[in-house]
Amino acid sequence: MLLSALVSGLGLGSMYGLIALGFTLTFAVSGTVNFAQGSSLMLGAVTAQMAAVGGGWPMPLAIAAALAVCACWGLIVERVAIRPFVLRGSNVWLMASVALGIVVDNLAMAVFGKEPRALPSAWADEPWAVGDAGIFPLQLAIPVVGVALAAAVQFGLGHTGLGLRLRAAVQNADAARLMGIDVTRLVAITYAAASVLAGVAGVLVAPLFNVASDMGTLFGIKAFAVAILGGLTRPWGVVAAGLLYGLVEAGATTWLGSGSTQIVTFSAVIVALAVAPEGLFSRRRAARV
Amino acid sequence: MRTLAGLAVLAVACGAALLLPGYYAFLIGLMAVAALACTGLNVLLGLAGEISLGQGGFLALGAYGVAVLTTQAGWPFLLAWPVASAITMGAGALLAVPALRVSGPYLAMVTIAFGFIVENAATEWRGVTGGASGLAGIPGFFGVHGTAALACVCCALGLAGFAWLRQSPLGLAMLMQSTAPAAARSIGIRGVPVRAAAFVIAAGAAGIAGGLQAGLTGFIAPSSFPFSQSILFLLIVMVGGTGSVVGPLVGAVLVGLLPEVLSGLAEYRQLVFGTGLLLVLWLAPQGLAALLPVRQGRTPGGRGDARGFLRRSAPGGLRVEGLGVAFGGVRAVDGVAFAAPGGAVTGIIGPNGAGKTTLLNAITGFVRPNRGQVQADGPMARTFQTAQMPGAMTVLDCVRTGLLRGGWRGTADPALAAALLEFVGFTGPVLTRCDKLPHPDRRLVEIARALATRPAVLLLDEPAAGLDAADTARLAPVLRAMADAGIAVVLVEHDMDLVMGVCDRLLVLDSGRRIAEGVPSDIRQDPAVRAAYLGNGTARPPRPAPPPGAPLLTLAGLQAGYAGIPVLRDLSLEVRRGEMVALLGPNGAGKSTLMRALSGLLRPVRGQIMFAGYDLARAAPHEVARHGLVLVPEGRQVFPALSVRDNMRLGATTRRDFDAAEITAMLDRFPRLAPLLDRPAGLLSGGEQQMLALARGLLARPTLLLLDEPSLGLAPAVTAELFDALSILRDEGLTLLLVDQRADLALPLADRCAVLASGRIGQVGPAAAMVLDYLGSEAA
Repeated sequence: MLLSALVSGLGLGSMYGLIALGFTLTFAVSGTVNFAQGSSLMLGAVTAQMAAVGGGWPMPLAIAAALAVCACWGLIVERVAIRPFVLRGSNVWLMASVALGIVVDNLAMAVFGKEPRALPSAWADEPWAVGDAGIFPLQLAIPVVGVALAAAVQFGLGHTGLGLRLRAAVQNADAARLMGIDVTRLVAITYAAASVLAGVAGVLVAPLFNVASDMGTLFGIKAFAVAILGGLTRPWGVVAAGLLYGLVEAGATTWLGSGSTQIVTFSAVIVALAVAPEGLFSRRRAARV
Repeated sequence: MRTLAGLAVLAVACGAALLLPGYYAFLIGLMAVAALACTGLNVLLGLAGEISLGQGGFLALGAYGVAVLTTQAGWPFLLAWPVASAITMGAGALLAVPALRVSGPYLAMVTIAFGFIVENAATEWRGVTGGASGLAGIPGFFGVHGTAALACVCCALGLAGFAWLRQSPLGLAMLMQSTAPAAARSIGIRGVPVRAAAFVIAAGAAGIAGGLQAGLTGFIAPSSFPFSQSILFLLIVMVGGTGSVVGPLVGAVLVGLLPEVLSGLAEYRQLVFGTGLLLVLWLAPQGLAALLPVRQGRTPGGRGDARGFLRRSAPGGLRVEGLGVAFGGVRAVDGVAFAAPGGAVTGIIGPNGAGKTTLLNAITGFVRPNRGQVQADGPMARTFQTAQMPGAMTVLDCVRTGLLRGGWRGTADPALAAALLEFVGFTGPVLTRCDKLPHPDRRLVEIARALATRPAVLLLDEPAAGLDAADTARLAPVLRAMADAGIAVVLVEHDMDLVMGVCDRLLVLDSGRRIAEGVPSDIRQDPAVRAAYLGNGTARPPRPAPPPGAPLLTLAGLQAGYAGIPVLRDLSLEVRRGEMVALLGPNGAGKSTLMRALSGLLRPVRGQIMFAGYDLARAAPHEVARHGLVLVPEGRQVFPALSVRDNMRLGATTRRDFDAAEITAMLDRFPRLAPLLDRPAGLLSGGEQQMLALARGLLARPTLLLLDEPSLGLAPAVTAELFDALSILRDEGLTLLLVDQRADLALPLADRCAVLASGRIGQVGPAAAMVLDYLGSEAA
């Protein structure tokens, strides 16, 4: 029981971490996030399901298509719901991204239908018997992929030209512009990347859960909680917070029953923020006038 | 008029609720419930400026309170309802404790978590709440019709309550706190209790609304309060109009009627809703209520006596002893002592970066001093270098908020506020919103707001910055009149004519230290002061005039400003290939604005910026940089967490032919940087950072290099080294446009000099012929 809680906790947690990593990227560069990031996850899962099952595409192609759709979606969110409001100096982008999320969720429902569908995967077919529990290979692959992607993001930020320009824009956007960096384009890129990260999460969890047009909402909210707990701007902080959140969630489900899961986790979020108002993994910044 | 119209709407709504068939009464009741819950949210969002996504949770608490007390405990509705509402308010107060330690997205998260906890607790606590199947048979107030009418009355009371709250002391404090937090702090408003009050009021309104909803529907279950409802409430407020009284009602009616209108398109209802919402956010960002005619408040009647209000029986005073402030090892203020007696104007002057604003921040408690003492005989008030204006408030309310000094009760006499505005020379309409004010008026309103706290000591941070000569001249008698009332006036200012004309005594700072103190006529002659302002002028032989090159940069009719306030007015200038032009002018003349306009950071600008054959007036900053017009910005703006090497690499972003060896070559030019290559730039000294900023700019291979105040805040030795580097660049033939307050260094280096005044180029000529006077006209 402990083992299966551990595996499922780390798996879910790394998914939250992946989506939260997207929040981190966009927030660091632009001070904004796609509040309907759960919709990106849903788009990834729905596209993969429709391509693989409906269209009979081979799985790698279906996944590539799903991620391409997610990237485009990220660009659309930034262009439609974020940029117009940021240019006005308004914080309404938050609600605009929610509204756009409602639109895409319902468009997906119109195309995909209301009924949840399965996305069969060879990796979630035959469970491996581990002790008294059965674990799908996919469940083991999920945290590996999650942490590997987080490491890739971290490496990209630290060791590539694009990463250097991103870090420059994060620290001083105006100075970055003076260096000839197109910060507006960078922001768009981070939105596409954030959406792809959520899409990866969607493709990975789709075989374990059912695919439905409303599957993203709760994922998105939990990932936002994780991003906040991680301190919003620290990539490793949100990944760690994601794993922690997943473990607490799986532990609560295993030992207290699934009904108490959300009560326990969201209470923990409130307590954590009351104790550490800037997140668990964030250095405190001094207030300046 | 408005009251009458409101009562008429209420009467019609109640009549419809009582007389129309049950379904319509139900619908009207639900809309009233939503409007009431959203009015509570409007207090939080529209007045206190905080986003909550937990309003549905509070609604559920109120509804479950009524449902449990009536069906499980057998209480009548009219007893259960107020008790449930009170419980909800209590829950709001309880949640405020953790919630108000955070704000922004963090607060949104706490409220989201709260909503989910309520929804899940309702499902899990089966014995009391009936679990997922909910509770049925909840009694209302004389059936659906009666409950709906009651909801309409409550909604009307809620809207009236909001209108009252918005102009009450507490509401004014909320608005000031959310839109101008520093100003709120300076007039005694304490943020946490004010925000907590907004939070509890919002929870209370949702609790009342929830009880009504339970009575109206007769049945509730966890699924009646999904997370999406909290989002819907927020959307209702925004669509209707955040901060407007009727906004929530407009939004709730619209959202309530939409499903009825779209009943044929049930599948696409949400789609239409989401799209419609996006359209409203795009097209009517202030919400639909903003499309209604604006209510004109009344100008206050009666006359207030500003002088009588301000007069102090015993003149107060301010004494500062040994005050020191250090930021990470840099002593911004270093053991400063001075006294500012009541009834006098005490000026604090010094070059940029001398520590004047930090001193002022330390005196008023905005920065914690490391050592020293501040003693004031009575309350202190201050203004800010950038006027802190509460955008959504009227000018009159802004000053009235000052009169309240953070108190939650009191009248804040409008006539007195108007008199204070008149006293400081404000002549505009007092019912204008603060964000519509032109720049000079903001300064005056801010002074009036500070005066409204009836201070013994008033500290003004550059009140004349950005004012033209006429406005500045009007400021002097106001300062004098404040001193005459017995106030100790402390003036931090760059405008030397104003300072010399109005101050009784002057304190001169340089590099955080006091270098002189005395009456203006003595200060003017003080050699240390002249040296601090003009430098010692290490003489550098001017180079022979270069052969006149072709025009490289031509500005024609350039106009630019901030938020509609013009700073550059019809500016024209030419820079030729291979020459070095120095741009001089007093603070506030528009030097930095010109640099920002040239580099593309400030848009839009009108007029022409012709550079090497291209008009860059519409180009974004990165495009300007790619054309070879590169700015080394004021304050260096290095990337603090990146290494010196990475900072330099970023300088070459626009080039494809960059070779890492160029960094090594750059170190020959700036040997100081050689041992620092792998150190984060933020740890470098000011001088080293300036060298790095220059190196970074050069690595872009600029055709024209713009330099904005490179000597700002640097020690003399480093400044000399920096200007040596500039002279080498000049001799190598690089075209340079330099803004620097150190005229003694800039003039000998430059081929030509242009003087900027009030947003125009005044004089242009050979640099050698220019003499600039920084210590006021009489000093010449």
